[in-house]
Amino acid sequence: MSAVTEAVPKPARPARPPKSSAPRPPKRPPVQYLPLTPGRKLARASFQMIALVFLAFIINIALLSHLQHAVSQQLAFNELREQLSAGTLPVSEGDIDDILLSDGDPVGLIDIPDLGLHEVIVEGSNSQTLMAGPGHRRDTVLPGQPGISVVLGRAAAFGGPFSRLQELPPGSEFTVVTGQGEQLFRTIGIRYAGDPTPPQLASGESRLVLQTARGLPYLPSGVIYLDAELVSDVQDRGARQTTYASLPASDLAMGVDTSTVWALVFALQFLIAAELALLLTAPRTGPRKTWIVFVPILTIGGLWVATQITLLLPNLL
Amino acid sequence: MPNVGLLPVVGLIALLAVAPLPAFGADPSGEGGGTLGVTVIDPTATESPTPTPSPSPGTSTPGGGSGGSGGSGGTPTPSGTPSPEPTAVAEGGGWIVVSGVDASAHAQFNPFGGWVSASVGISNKSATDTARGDVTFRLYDPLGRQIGSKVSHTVTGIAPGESQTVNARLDDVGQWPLVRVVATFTPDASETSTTDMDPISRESWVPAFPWVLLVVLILLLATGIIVGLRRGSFTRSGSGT
Repeated sequence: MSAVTEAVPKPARPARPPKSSAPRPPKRPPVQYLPLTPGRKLARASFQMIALVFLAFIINIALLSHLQHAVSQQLAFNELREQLSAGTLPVSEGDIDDILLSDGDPVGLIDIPDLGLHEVIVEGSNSQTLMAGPGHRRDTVLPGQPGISVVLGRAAAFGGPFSRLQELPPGSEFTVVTGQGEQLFRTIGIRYAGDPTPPQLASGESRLVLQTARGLPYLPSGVIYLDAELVSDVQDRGARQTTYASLPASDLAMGVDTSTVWALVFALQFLIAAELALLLTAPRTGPRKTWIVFVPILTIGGLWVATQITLLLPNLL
Repeated sequence: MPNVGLLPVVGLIALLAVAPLPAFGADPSGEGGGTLGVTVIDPTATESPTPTPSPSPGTSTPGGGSGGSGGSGGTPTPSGTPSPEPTAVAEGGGWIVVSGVDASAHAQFNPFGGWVSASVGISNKSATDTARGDVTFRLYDPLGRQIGSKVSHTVTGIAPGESQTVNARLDDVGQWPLVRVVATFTPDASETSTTDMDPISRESWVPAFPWVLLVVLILLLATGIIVGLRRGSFTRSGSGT
């Protein structure tokens, strides 16, 4: 038996009827806005600049400031270790070459285990100096020397080293390493402005006062003082050239340093010049080149302005 | 062909390269812009018996103590005692130290619930007197309005040199993401030797977890994204056919 298959010819496909039914709807034209007038362009650029500065300020104070603090601490720690090993860490307001210490020179290392705090203390306490870490107020003795020593630290920005100061319970101990060795302190307690202060120091006693801002982070409403008494031996006193009367107000708690306003003016001028250049060149060069060229310039300009504004804020922020 | 329009931009870049960025270098190296200490201080040295600025090399060694120049002048510099700061009242015999507020927030399923546990330590630094008083805890929202009712505890008999910790639970946190706890210790004047001691307050900001608010926020965000995507796809398909 054989099966025979026959090839059945496929019926020819009927030709498609021509598409003549409904005409294709025309493409919707892209939305076209009226070109901006020069005044509106300027207004738009101005608002962009304000937004840029605001954004840069937030980024600077909330993110970059901590990075900057970490770098400064590392540099200060390197210097401190070197001077400690060489025995040249300052024990007064002058260094080994009889030169007055500059703001930012390391003078000690504070270690508060209960708070996980391990920071280099630098000389000076204005806003710019406290960006590097806790700062020793110039008119007071160094920690461990007879008298009252005052160290200020930021509560939120630039690492916020003293942000948790309020959590330190009375009686807890911590150390400060200075050029005279390790000084051991025991906390007395915290206080706000107006609270009763600890008793006057007797001759030959030493006390350390740590100061920082209180209130919401970045929105300080006052100052916290943490008193601590020296438990270890009192060291010899180093000479101080700065007195309370000659101390700049910007070095006191919540002090504001306006000496860098000129730099803010220059920074703003730079940013305005960049914006004007953007306005003038954008129509000729096109959006792609404009973007490539001006984004870095405006970013750096915005950060520069933001940094200068930060310098004008209270030193304990 | 070089684009002339870019010339100002190149100029700006050059300016940027030259421009000093003080804060990025904010550091210890020193000479930064005539820092304050430099010249302003010396003139005042007239008050100080020792005009020479510094420690002698021998005395600045770590172990050696600083005596150096401080001692060399004979009389100590006048800067030590001037007390730094805030002008507070010196105590008499009854000196009380109040620690910072230790507080933490706890969420509840009830969106109007939630509570904050707070504690504060009172230390009696007096040598002879027993301390007593009232501790009042209050809770405030970020706008400064009080939440719930205050909680008070009476503290009795803190012996000289001793401390006591007071705990409190403050309810009705609700959906506030941040609340402020204020603890006020009001000493009992009859028990302490300082009859005019003012109340001492401590405050602390506590972050809470407003879960209902977060859920609503996430739902709104998700709805917005879905609606946006669907609308986008409709317009694309509509224009394509």
